Amino acid sequence: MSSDWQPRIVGFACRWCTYAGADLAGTSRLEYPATVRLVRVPCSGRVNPSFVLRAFQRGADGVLVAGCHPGDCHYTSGNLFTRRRFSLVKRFLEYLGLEPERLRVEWISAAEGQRFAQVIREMTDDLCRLGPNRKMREEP
Amino acid sequence: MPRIGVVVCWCGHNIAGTVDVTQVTAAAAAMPGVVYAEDYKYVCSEPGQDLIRRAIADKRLDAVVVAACSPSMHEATFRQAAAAAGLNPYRVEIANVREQCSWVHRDREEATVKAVALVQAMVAKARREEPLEALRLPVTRRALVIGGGIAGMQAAMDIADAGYQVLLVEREPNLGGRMAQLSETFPTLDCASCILTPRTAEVARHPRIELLTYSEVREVAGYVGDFRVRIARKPAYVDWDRCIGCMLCQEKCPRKVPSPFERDMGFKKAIGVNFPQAVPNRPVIDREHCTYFEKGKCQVCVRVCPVEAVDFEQRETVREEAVGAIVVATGFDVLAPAEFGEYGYGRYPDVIDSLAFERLNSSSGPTGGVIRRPSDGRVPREVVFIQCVGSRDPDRGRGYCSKICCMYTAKHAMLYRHKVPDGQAYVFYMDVRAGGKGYEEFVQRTVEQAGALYLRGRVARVYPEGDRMLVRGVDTLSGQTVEVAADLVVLATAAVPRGDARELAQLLKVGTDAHGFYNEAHPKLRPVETMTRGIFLAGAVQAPRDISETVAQASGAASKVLALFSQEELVADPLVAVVDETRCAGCFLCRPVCPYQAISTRVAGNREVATVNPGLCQGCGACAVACRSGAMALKGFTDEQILAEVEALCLRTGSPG
Amino acid sequence: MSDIQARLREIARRLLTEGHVRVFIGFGPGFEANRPVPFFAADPDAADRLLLDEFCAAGLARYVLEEVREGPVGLVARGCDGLGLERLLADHRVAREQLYVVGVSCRGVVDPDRACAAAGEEVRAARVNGETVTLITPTAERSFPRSACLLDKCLRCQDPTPRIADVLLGEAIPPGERDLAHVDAVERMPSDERYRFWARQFERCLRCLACRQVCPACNCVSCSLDRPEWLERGTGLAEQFMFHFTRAYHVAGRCVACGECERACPAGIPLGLLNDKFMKDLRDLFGVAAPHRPGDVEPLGKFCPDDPEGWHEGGEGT
Repeated sequence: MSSDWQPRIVGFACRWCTYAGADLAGTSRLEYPATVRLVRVPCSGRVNPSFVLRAFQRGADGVLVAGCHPGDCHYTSGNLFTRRRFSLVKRFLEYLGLEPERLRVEWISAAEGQRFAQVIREMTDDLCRLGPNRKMREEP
Repeated sequence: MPRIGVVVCWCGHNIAGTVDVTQVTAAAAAMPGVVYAEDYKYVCSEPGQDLIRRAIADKRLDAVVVAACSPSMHEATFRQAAAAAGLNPYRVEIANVREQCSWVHRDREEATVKAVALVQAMVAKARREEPLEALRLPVTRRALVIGGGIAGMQAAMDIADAGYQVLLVEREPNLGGRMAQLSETFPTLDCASCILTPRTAEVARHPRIELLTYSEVREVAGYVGDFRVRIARKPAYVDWDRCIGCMLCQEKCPRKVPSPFERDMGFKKAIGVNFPQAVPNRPVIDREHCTYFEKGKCQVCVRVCPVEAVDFEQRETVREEAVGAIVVATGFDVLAPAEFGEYGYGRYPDVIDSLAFERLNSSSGPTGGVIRRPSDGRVPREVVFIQCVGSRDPDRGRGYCSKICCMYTAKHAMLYRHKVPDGQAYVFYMDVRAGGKGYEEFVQRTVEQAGALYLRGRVARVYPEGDRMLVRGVDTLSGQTVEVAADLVVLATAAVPRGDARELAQLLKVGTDAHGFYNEAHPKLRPVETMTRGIFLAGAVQAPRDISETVAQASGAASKVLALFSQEELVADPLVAVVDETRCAGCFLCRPVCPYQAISTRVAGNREVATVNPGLCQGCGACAVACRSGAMALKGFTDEQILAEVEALCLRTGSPG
Repeated sequence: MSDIQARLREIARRLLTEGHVRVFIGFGPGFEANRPVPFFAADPDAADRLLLDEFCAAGLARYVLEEVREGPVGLVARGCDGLGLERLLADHRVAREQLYVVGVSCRGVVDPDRACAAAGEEVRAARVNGETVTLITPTAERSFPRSACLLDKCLRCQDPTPRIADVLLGEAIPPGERDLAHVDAVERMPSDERYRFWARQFERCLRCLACRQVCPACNCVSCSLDRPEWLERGTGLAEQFMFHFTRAYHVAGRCVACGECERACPAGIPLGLLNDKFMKDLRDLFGVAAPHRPGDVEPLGKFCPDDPEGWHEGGEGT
């Protein structure tokens, strides 16, 4: 592992809150590491847990699943299903041996550009410490 | 393989300053399926859009990826440009290389690598895209207004005046709502019925308003432009078509019962109207208190009715109506102060709520407008008003301010002084909130001219002493314990949602807050809309508010309805869920996660499968995840598309297969 | 058991004679005396070949899915079969009126390999008592602890009696709580060791899909794991994780803990340990019964406004 290795984070962001929050980080010119690439989904409730597996399978070092705060879902209840699903999935992936830092579930609103940047900084730091993910991953 | 074009925007220096756009364009040109890649200074400009249009035509493109600013900025712009060149607008994808790349990263190389990845993901998505057609929904240009109070009447009038049919449903036998119970209104002290009565008459005779009083909404199906509503008309036991409104029945009815309209301080008959100016002026029989229904005999009303309109056999009737939009104006209730034992409400007749005080002031009320206390009919010499009973009281579950009480209490103190010139009003308050045109001045007049004594603090206890009520509290400004001997105590109880507000909200699929007030779509920008398209809010159903605000909001809701009705047809996003019936097992695990109840059963061959109503579906995609077999797909965000994006984003080098 | 077997044959014969059912599913003789196999009695005489003993291992619920297409089905059901049937009913895959369920209480099924190893010779018959199992061999009759004789799936059984029987033969045994302590043991491993543990398990997977085929919760018409976008046909470790994660997630909140997946797995992968992890977290986080009894809305098809955020609480066992 070279010293300038940077982790790769795949983020699933609901278009109404987190994706807009990431846009706000941009319009506010908040700098954060170029480690994250977002997939824009209508709602965090659209994130199939197996998408997360696919990301790790194909070489992601970390995955972020993010949506509106509970109670603020554009579709009323989508994120409340997300909360149940990913409460289980996060624990299950850890049960399979994944380090807890590699999957993060966050509520980030359209107003929380600052928080989006902060989450990416924290994740990047955590993942730099852990190094590249080799678990559940195809041989590069 | 579809032919894809990629256009990379510099956004002047905004993108090109950090991202090497030339390199991104070169990388894009090498991606599978990409037959055209170009960069341009400002793609959103007219020449930039022209570049897209020409590329679509010249290169026979099947899809376009624009690497530019956030899709929230110009996705619509580029889709329109593509459509102008004959490309399906839903085959345009945006790679967000400005807000989520050039503006947040400094290192040119890292930002360029990321920009390539973002383009790659969108190319991968575009390759798996199908052309989609915007949904076109017909509009039934007829509105349903639920609630015949001042809010509902205003909305109904505005819509009807603009030329559209309105169905106005009111649960009581008459129009008027809460406002019909009020005496005078703040801050002008004009009498409520003088404003209201002409309005109710106007609504009743409007040629485009169909009035359904004594009726309730039972079922709501369908979606914007095409709601199907079932409305039940409760039995009045009087044939209103025959009835001429002479009210002989009311006059002769031998049965007197306490009148809820008069807050039980006056009486009504078992047949009759709530108040003399009621519109429509048609009686109903109160089945619970009618002697005939109780004992099987009496029938005085039958005998006196000159037109044989009384009909004990009348049954509830239900009709189904098609409407294109719904305005909810069901108003509010006042909190039953029974839960405030310290004030003695219910135990002592001379502790009443503000709505009862309105009735005491009303010239058509139980005392003919003379303020007399309920216990012995004496005119009270000292009256204590207690504000914030149940409001601003998080310990008892209501942290919110009911907003109208400060003003109506000031009004009550003033009216009292007008009627009892030597009387003294005391007001226990927390703060006086008098925001509104002429409101603060009104409160000042109450203090200065009407001589009301304002005491800041909460009342601890109210208890009887002799024939008076002792009110004990703390004046928090002086720190002194205060005791006032009062002839009458008036509680400004919290405005709360109607008892069945939540049930109606469920029928309408509209969200409510923790208390049961209906949620607006956006507190600032969409205050009269709900999250369900085509359903709008007017008045206190959304939050406590006074008459002028209610009327303004009702007109706002009406204008939203009119905007809807002015369209030829409604256009909806085609990004909705769709079922592959050959793969659907019919387990219906999708159904409970749908917030719009858009999923129903369809018989396909010899088995039942799920089917999605595209008019109801809002495209959240929760069902696509609940479906284990992958039979449920969300158009524009299919599993294949998202998996392809993920794969592309994970690639460290090279391009996706 | 022989009395119950006689009554079972009698009922099956009557159902078939009177045409109430087209086929009756139970067990019949296998190649070895201690390995009976599922048996489909399609005529009244065949009912006399039905048998029911301590070696009847296979779950029968899933067979119903194929058989009901041709007409009503009768079957004998233990607690696990009953839950499997409830699963199929809740998923609208069969209709209740298409089934005639003859319920029996089950104290556990003897694993012939395990029993022979314990007894040191061929076991011809067995009696399952409370905490012990009596094994009868040609030379002796001796008692052993349950854990030395029974199938793994039976050691943690919480539902000995089916809840949906049309007729119950013998006495009902009240249901208990499922013991999920074996999940704790894996949770306690350090994360890397846990990964190696599962990697060793999944490496053996042949992707034969037997686990899916026997599972009453895996009853889809078309399985997403047959789709190339989700799963390629390789058996690389990453694919295996994708497969096993997805299989377990698809039955999360729906698994009835019948243990058939694990019994059917030719590679001996402890699939129950995956299912039970979801079950444990559903119980601990959302108060869902273990296992969730079908019929109520799926735990993943609903929510409470104040559900906990399970990712904040120590999923990490170390």
